[in-house]
Amino acid sequence: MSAEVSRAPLGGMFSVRRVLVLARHTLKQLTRMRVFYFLGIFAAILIASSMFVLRYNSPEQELKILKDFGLGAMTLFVSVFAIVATSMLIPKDVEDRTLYTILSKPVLRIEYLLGKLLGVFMLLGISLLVMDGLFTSVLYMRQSMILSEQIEMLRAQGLGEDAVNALRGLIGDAGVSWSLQAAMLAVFLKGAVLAALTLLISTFASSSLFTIVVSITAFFVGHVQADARAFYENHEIGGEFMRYVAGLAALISPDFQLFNVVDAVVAGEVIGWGGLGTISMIAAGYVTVYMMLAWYSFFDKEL
Amino acid sequence: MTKASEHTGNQAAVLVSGLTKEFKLPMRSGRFRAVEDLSLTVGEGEVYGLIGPNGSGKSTTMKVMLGLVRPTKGSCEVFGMSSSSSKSRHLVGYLPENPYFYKHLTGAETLRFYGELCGLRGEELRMKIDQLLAMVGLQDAADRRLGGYSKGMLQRIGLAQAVIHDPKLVILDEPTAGVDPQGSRQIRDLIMNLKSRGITVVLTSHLLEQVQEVCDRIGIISKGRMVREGYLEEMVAVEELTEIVVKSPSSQLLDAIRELVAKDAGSGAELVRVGHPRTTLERLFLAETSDNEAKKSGEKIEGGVR
Repeated sequence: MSAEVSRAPLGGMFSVRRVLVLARHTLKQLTRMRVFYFLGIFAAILIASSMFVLRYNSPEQELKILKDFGLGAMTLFVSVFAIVATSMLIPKDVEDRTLYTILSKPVLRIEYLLGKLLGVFMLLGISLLVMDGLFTSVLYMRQSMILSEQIEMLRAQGLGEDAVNALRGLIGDAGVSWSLQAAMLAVFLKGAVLAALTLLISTFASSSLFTIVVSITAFFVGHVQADARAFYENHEIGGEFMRYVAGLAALISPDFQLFNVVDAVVAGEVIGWGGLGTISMIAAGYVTVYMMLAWYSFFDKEL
Repeated sequence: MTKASEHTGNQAAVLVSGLTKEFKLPMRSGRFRAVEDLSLTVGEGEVYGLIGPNGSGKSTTMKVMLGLVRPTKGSCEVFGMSSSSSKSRHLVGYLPENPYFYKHLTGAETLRFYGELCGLRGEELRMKIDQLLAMVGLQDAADRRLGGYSKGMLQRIGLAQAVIHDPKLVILDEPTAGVDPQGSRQIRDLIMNLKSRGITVVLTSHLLEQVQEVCDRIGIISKGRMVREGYLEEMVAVEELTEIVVKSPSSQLLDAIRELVAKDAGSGAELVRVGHPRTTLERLFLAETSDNEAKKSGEKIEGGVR
């Protein structure tokens, strides 16, 4: 005990290292709460659907449906992770008084918030990487099986290499592609925005349940608010009042439709770097604004 | 110089001046005043006990010292720095009442986490963790998750995390609440250990006998106000009585003492009581429930007089 121990420099300076310590700890906390068990459910659903449910469709349709289903399931899992994992972090720390022990150390409140959010981002990233690997493998295997079955059929019918190459192109467009990874990034960005919004809500919410309910509501509103706003702006239904309501929804909830590239990827469209850059910037903007609001809400919070 | 520091000759570790703290009442328009115009000073190296009934404002005062809540009026300084500044927290360690900590972490991981938050790392941190685990007697439980710790073990690991960055001031909120007598004794020994190393300790407890054992000064707080403050010895001493304790006196010696006192009756002297001093129930419990070695030590204590 007598040994002199070096300390972080005195002062209220922001420390990236403390943020990383908190992020690593948050990831460990969530991992040991066995949230990754949900990935087993994802794997089971994915494999079952690829083996049984989709066998009655045409070859390229089958792959498209598998992609649509897989990306939809990933979006759902990442959104659930983002809301549930984030919503309990601060209320649980307050309830268990662990927040006191952390903030009574030389930790700034913004560092605490950023550490928690970064930990959730790490969880979302790892989950998505695992799901991506699993999904891409299943899709690739199914694509290879379909291709060999179809080529065999074409050759049995006496069709030549032109038909086979056309089939390869058709199935290749419907199967594994780089745009699939672009869709994964879009799913991650959507999850990141949702996690930041959930963290903001949890800074003033009285319980995890309240946070979850409000976040889920914002999630659904965020998927329809752009369409609703456009509808009420272009039609006279509801008058000024409904236009204000739609505008208010746009203010309190992010426009999640901006991150929806899944339909385009399923249709075989190529997602360019420009499009990815734009949605990344939009996501960064949302996360920054939500974190600033969260800090404002948490800065003077009586603990 | 403040009253406390006049005695110790050192700077004030904590200086609370005219502290008032009000909380908004949820869903109501009114405000609740938890602390009102409270002033206190804790000298460096002292063990200061803040005692009072539930809801008297003790924990709120401590939270102000830690910068967890801001004063509505007045100020709080820790070693000359505002307690709301994160700079002051380099010098302060804190153990909250009934802490749960993170159940998913082991004892060693818990100390590593808090150590890293304080800027410690590498071999230095590893050594520090080993030292602290030894200090609180949890080396054997270092790799067990906190979910399996007893209440006493949790309090001890909590105390270890509170001092991992070698603070100059340690704030303990009900450190022995819910802990059995052995665990409670260990925590008191740890507090005495901190005191012997010159660390200032501010603590609250409802177990007044324990407060009496470890504190140099106390403040009694009621309904948010400081109602009495001072040195413990001065506050609890019964000035007009003098206690003399004799081991194995003969009946002749006792008679002689009685006669001597009777002879001095003119000056007002009076023999109030002759009898065997009693041990405390707690010491008896400790002696009867400890292992052989500890039991011998307990018997020694039992034989002593408080």
